[in-house]
Amino acid sequence: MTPTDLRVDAHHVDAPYVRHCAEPSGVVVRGLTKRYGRVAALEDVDLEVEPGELVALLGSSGSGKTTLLRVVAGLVEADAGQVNIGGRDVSRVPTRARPIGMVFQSYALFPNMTVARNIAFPLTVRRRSQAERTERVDELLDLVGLAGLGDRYPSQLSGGQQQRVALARALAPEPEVLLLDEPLSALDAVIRTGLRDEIRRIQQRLGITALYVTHDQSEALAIADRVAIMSGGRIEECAPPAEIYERPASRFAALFVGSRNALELPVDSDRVVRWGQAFALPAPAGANGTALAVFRPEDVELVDNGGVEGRVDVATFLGATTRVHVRVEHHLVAVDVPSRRAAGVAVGDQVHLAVPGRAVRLFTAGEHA
Amino acid sequence: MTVPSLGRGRARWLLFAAAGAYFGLPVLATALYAFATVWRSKALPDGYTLDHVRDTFGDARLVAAVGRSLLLGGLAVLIINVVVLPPLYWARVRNPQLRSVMQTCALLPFALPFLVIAYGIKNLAGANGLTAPWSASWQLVLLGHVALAFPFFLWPVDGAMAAADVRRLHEAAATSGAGPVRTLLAVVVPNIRTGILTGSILAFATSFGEYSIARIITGTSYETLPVWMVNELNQTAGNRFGVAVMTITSFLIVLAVSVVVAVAARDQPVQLLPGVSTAKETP
Repeated sequence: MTPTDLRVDAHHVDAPYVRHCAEPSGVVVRGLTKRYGRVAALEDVDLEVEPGELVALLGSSGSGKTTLLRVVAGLVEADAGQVNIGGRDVSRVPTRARPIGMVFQSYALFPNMTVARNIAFPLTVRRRSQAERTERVDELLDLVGLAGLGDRYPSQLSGGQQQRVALARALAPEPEVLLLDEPLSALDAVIRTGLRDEIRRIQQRLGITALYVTHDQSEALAIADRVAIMSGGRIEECAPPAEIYERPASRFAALFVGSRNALELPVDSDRVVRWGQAFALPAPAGANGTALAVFRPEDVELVDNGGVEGRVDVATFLGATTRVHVRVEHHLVAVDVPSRRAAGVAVGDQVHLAVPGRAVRLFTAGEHA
Repeated sequence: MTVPSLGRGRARWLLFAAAGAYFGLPVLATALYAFATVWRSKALPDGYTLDHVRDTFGDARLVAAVGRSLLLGGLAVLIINVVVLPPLYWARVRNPQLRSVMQTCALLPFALPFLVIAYGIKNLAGANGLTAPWSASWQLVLLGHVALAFPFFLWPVDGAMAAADVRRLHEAAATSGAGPVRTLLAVVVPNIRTGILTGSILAFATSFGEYSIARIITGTSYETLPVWMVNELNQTAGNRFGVAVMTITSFLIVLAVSVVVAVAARDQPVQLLPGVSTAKETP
């Protein structure tokens, strides 16, 4: 690990003014569909990214998030639908003529060129003058914290440094939209959070519109203005991170984000879903027989009386909190307890659980995501 | 258990020595013959001289033959580069079927003896009025050499493209705003140069040492080095020492070039056959 990988942001606070003349443009995607044989990679996808906004495409592999990004980049041609960048329909425009910059998971630097020539490549292609290229390269090296490393070759850099170079190269031609395809997945955990915060800082400083593909929910929640959760080629939900986390509107989002408890509970004849004395909530419309109650481990409380009764199955110390798994009938419920409080809990103990009604999201049961 | 391991060590050396003798002795014998005054019925020549070398390189007919062979080989390599590189690059980034077609074409020269192919080319060219005037030309020999030698270029280059992950480089270049021609020249070629160099040498060597096509298409009107060599060997008064000199010269040149390429290729592993692609498959 090299010093630049662990560089703190302090260095950049006084970094020189970085030109980014292009007015931020929004990206509008309408009715995108893409099939590979019988498999639908994208199914009638609509998405609007505001100018200057960073939207994270979050999903597991095969959800279509990478395909969506590649369609916006023009690397994949959609079967149907439209891509607009800055109000212009670019669906028929080849990749090289789209106003984009792209960062790849595997860095994809040109091994035969120095760092400086890699960053200058988009400018060389655009026939900018030598003086302009040199100035821009220095500016970008500063921006990504690699000043002085312009003469190195990619193979002489660490993974984190290479990805910084890739970011600088993507930004060099002042693109209207920055596309990032799992840019941190190939990096070590320590470098990952540092570079994640730095990508966010740079994106906000330049005010550039960005689409960011990731399978890591904490990464998506940390970096994005809005998170679009994808599954089966569709966008299940697109909302700000706090909203996705606190009040997921879709069942898929509720189960995908945060390691939530999901209990299938009966709907009583008075259309109320009850879990012992822990909570009683009106059943969602359309719920027949059973409903799915979803809530986060940190919203469950250990109480002295009432609630539901269960037996401690296992307790995992996580630092400030301890995750206690409690067996309630046939459910295994995760409960996050402050570690000091958890010290008095032993495996096999009888405990009472309560969940505030506002922390519970109810969905119709039956369909399995 | 030291005895078997000693035995294995000995067996290894024995095998190595046998292989060395098998490959090395003919070269050594040819080299000695090139410098021998007389060599009869003894293990080693009676005496040594530089006369053969001087005489051989002073022979205008031979020099002309070497010139023709160099020209043919050089042009063949040039044509092969131009004809193979762009479609192979395109096959990797856009149209994989193109690659299957090229791979199949690359096997065709090995399905038939070169001699048969040579007659085929000549007859085909002579079969219609348009190409008949060319049916005994050196240009037709050149085309034949291109067809025979391109597989030896295709394989290492295809392997190098797989190793360099050309598709990924292409995408990075395209999102940087570069078109296919610039990408091929500025990004792809520099990153597969070892493969191109290896392939070019193999293709050149194939053309340089090719006898059947040149002999059958042009008869003796366009004498290449191999045609000259066979002539000299067949004639009772032929210059056999000259043949030995030329064989050793060719050998040394190829050896030198190979060493240079091997040294230059230390940072770019040569992959002679296309292996498993390390490229990340996109869904």
